[in-house]
Amino acid sequence: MKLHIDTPTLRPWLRALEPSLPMLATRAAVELDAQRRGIPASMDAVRELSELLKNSFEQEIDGVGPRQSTSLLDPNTIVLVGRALESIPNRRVTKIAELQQMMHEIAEWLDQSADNSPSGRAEVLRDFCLALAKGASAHHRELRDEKPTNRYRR
Amino acid sequence: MQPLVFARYRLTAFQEELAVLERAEFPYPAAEAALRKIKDVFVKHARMLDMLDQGSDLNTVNQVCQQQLTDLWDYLPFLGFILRSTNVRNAFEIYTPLQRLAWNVLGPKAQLLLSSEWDYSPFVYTQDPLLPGFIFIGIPAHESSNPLVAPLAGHEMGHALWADVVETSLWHPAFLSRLKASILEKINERWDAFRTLHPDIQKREDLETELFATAAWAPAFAWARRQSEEYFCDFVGLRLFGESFLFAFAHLLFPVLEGRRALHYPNMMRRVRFQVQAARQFGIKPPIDYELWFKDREEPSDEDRHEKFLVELADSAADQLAPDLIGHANSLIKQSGLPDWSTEEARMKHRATVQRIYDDFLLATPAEGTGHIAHILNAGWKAAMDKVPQVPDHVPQQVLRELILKSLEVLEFETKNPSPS
Repeated sequence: MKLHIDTPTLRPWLRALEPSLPMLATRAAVELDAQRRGIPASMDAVRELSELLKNSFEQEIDGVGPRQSTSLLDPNTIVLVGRALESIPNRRVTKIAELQQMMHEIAEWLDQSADNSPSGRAEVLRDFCLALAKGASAHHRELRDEKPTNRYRR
Repeated sequence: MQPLVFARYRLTAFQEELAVLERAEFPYPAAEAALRKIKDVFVKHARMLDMLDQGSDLNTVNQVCQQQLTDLWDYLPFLGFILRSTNVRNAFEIYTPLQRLAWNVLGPKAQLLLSSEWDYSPFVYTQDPLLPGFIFIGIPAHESSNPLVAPLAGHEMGHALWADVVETSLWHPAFLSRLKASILEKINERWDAFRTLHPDIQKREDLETELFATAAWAPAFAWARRQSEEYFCDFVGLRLFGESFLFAFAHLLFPVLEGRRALHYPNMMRRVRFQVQAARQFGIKPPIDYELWFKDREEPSDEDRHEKFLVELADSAADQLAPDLIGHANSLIKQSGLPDWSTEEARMKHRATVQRIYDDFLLATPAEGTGHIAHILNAGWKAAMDKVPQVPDHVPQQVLRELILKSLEVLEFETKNPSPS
């Protein structure tokens, strides 16, 4: 018997603490790097990442009505994405509103790449994904490293 | 790209070990299912490696190999855990009642793995990265045949409930907004102290609009979020197992581990106080002197003013949310089939059942008609605290352990073969 929850379920969105994020962003980077070199790739991870970005702002909630447009980004994810955006040349982002706009753009670029539309952005997107993977990984490690260690273990 | 050889070799070695484990016999299907999930993770790694060659970007290659290393580091202990789940030192009698409870709380997809740990940290694998739906309950090896620690499994079910329900629902953004508002309110109250630490942040409005200002308080948010989850899991464990959860918690952690506290955990006394508050709210009677059993771990020193300031923000935000989390834990698992302490009638019924089981234990007899694992464990702890049953030439602890395990077996038989009445 599954418990009954009245609260609507949300589709996954971008979260710094999501444990699968480093792996997903790494896979997306590999797919984009393959695309840059003209090697066919499934682009599954690129699509998935794009969905996460889009779901961070728009959610269709069953029984609640039309798309809800609100940011689900928490402060740690904002900081994570902000740092990852530094990998994109000539796109300095300092304000959270700008970051949200930029995330919309990146989601569109990722979709274009996934559809193999020629945009020439594979390299830029790959570097963004790499920065996202590294940042998320470091964030997780920070929390994990706080476990008490054994004093006799090196 | 020579270093890729290392990545391929270590991946192959891990996959070979996985293959060996897959051929082993496991006492329940969850172990095999977990192995298959772990295998999938490393199949993805193999695919990534297959896509790399001389022309690949060096940073991408490094990230792939680093991610692989991280996953090897994280998953190897899981293989050990799964292997040890076959060990006869584990009390297999605990497994089925706990698995049934997990199905009750989390639905039919919940898969429980019970194993012994050579690490004192109780229940170390909580929210496994890529194994949603699995609950890993690792009991310290010397306790792995002791059913009295089983109530702490409720805390781990809380983590699964948090990941499966709370984090995917509209509650989550609502909780997070509360944490954020609380942290910002505290910063505003202590604006001068905050400015001393962050003189580059000029205006209060920047805290919510500027990236660099958000980065200044984001760690407090991460800690507060994790602390809130820990509170929630304690409340779930308590709601599922009643007073026995508090005894099991004290059994493993009284008075407290030495050293500095983890910032993403509430310090012990705050944790214990909210356990007591939740107990009262659920109608559960905590031991009278429960709070006195524990001590706090060391707080961050005054020398690290920045960390101290941030953790104070986190603590305060998590504490403000905790009363709501008590209510949410209760509403999520309030359903038929689970113990209920919410009314005087329910409490009397529970007390009578526990007393009947306790009386059976006094006679060194396993109990029948117990109805729920929680009743058996509550009676077990009552007997343990009274140091009964006293059987000549036998250690009470061992006798009690066997009585509880046998009662759990009887419960399982009765569950599978309900009486026609």
